Amino acid sequence: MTLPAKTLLLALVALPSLAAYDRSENLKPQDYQLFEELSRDLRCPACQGLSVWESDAVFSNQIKDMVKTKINAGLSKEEILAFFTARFGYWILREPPRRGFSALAWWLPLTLLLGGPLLLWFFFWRRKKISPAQGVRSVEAIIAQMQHELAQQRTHRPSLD
Amino acid sequence: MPLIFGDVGHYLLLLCLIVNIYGTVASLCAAWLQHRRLYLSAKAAQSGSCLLVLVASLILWLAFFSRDYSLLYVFKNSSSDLPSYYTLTAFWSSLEGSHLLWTLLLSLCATLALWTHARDNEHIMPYVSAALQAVLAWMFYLAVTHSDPFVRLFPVATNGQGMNALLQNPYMAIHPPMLFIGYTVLAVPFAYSVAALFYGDITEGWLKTTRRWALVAFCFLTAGVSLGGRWAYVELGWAGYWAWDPVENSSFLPWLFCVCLLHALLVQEKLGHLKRLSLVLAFFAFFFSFFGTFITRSGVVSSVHSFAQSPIGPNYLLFLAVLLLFFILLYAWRAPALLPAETERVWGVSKESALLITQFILLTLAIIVIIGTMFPIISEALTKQRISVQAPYFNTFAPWIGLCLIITIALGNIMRYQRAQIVGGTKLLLGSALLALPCAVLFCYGGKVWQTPEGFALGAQVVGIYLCFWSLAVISGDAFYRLHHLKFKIKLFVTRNLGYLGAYVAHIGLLVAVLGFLGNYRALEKNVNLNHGEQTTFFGYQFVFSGVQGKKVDNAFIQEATLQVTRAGQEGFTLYPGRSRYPTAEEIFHEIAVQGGFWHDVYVVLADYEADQQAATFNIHINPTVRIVWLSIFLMVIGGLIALCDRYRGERSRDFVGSGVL
Repeated sequence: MTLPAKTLLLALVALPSLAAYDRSENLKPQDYQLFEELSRDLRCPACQGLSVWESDAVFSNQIKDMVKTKINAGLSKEEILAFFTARFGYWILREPPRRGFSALAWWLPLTLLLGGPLLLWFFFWRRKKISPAQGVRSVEAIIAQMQHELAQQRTHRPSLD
Repeated sequence: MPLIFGDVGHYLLLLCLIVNIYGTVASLCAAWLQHRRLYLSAKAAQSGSCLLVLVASLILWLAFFSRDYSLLYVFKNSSSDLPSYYTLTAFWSSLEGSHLLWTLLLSLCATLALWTHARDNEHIMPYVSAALQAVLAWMFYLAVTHSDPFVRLFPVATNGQGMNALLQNPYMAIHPPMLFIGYTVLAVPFAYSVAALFYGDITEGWLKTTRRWALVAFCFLTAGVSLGGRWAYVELGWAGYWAWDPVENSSFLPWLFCVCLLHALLVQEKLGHLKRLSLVLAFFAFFFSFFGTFITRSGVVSSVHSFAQSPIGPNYLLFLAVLLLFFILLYAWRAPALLPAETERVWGVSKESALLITQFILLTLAIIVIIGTMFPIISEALTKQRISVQAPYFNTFAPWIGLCLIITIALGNIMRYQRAQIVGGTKLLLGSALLALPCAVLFCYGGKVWQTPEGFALGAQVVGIYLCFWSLAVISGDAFYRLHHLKFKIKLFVTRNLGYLGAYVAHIGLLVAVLGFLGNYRALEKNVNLNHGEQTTFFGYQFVFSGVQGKKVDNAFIQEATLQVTRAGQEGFTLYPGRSRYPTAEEIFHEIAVQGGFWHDVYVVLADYEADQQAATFNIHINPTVRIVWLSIFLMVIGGLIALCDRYRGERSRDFVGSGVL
């Protein structure tokens, strides 16, 4: 855990309040959509699974204010995200980065989705076994088969006399 | 309540542990020696242990109702002002109690499984009993060591700390038991698959019993998972019901494996293939029900480092590792002994291939969910880099999986076993493509789908909705062909085809669910400040605010805003969004007001209000097609229940492959 993240978590424990947050405040109307996109990409540090957009926790609101300041300073989306990752680490983003070790999280599902059908083909469609009978055998079926075989053996058994 | 009762509860659990250890050993010996009386004693041991844990649970309930704060668990999770129905559910509002509830349900389940089984399963019952009782013994070991609900508090407190206010909700009262029943029921297919591996063969009775238990688990898991979503929707106040957070994911995984298992069992029943796969799936469904508890309980999700703080975490990890190792070894040792399938002409373009692809898709989703849930932990452990994997990650993959599922449901249902021929053929596919067009237009119109602003999202939504209707039309057309084939003898169709009918309803349920997900892909919201008497309009609704009033409901103090809502051409209604405060807790909680019709919910959160109660801030959400999602859950559960009533399996079923009918 990086140091800022830790202080951030500590700050949260003491902040149970749920003050209302005005999303359009201090923001030019044409920047509203950029603001929404950005705050949907940043995680709420206090919650499980929510973005700062969906959360009204105090720290989320502080992050939203920071986003607004950066937007008003004229920074682009990438620059603002870079600022946040530099400050809090990749942890602040809601999805893992697509390079380094985390790229694995993106490539594994893709490989699976595309490579899986190949495996299926290899293991199932390619080889077709053919043998008699069908379905799962019931005990009755097994017994019937055995009795049948026994009966056949009896008929084929060479007679003693 | 007499003070001694708490200790009695503890010792009852200890006794259960001993009895179940005996039961495990006795079952194994009975299986080894082929000793029937020894097995019967193990069965009696399980029945007795079940009674004992029931008594222990009743003692804990009694302690809750008699406000016995000499028990630490009662002290921590209830208070004297708690209403009686929440006193009942306070039992499972925290770790120790929910562990006891799980153990109780598992014990009931195991006893039921031992007393009810198919006639031709007599020979594997000792193995089933051993597997179930071994798991139970471990649960009781945890219950008496790291998760003891009967720990004493001294000096005795006069009032408790109160139940977690977030859990004081009707949905939270039934959600955990439902989910736990689903989890525990999954233990039975697991035990049967262990037994099948030990014994080395699978009988018809095995299939029938396993399918039945898997279906029961499916119904309960579906209900349990969705009730959790419903709870999040009405309690947490962010206007959604699914956030892909680790807790949700871990409840979703057993569901996925369970559904997968049902499809594998179907192939096995009709054609005898996929025997080994269904054994593995039954194991993983069970494994992930525990795995979910491990990652949520141990704190390992939030950070690798918080993992060591709770002793229950390492214990769970040990159990999971032993379980996995045991199954892998057992599988490697015994799986080759299973007789191979004896069917000719399989795979190729046919229903069995479609079922296999369905399983592949479901497993892929499961693996994505596992990767997404575990990746932060793995990444932190290996690279020391903390990352988050949240909804955006899952939402990149989930739509594609959904798309695959929609198409596979349509094509898979109209195919037949062992033949590359579709009843109805192109007529059915093209007819449905035409029929789906007006339905999709109507749905887009009713759900006001065009209000989605972004081009790509809008396109994806419309295409998805159209494909859903196409799929619905295709499987309904196929149902028609099946009826036609029977010359519309409805009674015969219903009695002999309940398995198919259940699947039909459940598949409709899933498609309706996807429609619902697509509809509320993008919700609309407005953040507004209102003074007393002021009004605002949003989405054709007019909201008039008339002050905030404080009132007391049960143990909570609620500040409630009154919003009169009217809409042209509709009857008006009043919403009371509020904030609640419990004397036993510091936090303030949302009391959300939801009212809606078929197409959308009006969902209002009281975000803030002035101390003079004359001004307030509201978050108003319009959530489209949420009702449709809840409806779909009903359909899925009903589908499962219908399939459960199916008495005609195997060659007596209309779906019997050998008859050449279908």
